[in-house]
Amino acid sequence: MTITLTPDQEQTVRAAIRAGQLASVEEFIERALADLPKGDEAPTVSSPTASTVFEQGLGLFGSPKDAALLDEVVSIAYEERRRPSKRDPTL
Amino acid sequence: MTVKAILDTDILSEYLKGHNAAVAGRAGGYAKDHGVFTFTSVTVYEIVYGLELKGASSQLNKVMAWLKQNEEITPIDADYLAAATIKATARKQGSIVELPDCLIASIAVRLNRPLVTGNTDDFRAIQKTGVNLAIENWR
Repeated sequence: MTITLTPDQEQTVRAAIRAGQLASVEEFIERALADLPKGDEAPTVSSPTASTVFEQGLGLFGSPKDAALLDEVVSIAYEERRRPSKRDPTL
Repeated sequence: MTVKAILDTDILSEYLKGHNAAVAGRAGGYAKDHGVFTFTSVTVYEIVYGLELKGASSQLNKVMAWLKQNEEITPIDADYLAAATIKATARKQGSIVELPDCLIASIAVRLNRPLVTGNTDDFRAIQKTGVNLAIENWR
């Protein structure tokens, strides 16, 4: 079986490896398989405690659309931060 | 062991995108030591404002769910007083720094935590006002 990851998914996995959260791509696959329901076990919805806060946040906005959106949000924020008051008092 | 720090909006954004290897690596090391990230209500305000402005409700819901699992520091009265002093001192020194940066810096100084930001120029102007603000850039 060949699994093809999207570029965003691949980047997220690579970032997790670099950050030390995963040892290798193989470990990523092993963890994904371990998370599958076993036998007649009912599938569970992943809970917020299923992974660490770090893992949940890394790449949360990794898709091109979300990343562009977040860039825009930061750009708006920093534009606001640098916008001087309408009338600066003369010292 | 890393020291507890305050993350500014731009660095938090880089981590959430997961595209910058340096930021992801530093964030991973930090998370191993501290479990969660710390940021100010200024950052939460900026993210919510921007996403509301763009009408991005699903992204707003998912980022809020994640933000709530971390540590948010809300400015207290002393932070506003310190921010006023920073802003006035900078202004007298010829630099314009606005309230959001002053509040974030005041919180970092009060808690004695470094500020992790890529916006180093603006915060260097704040350092020049004499406050004991440590700056780190994870990029």
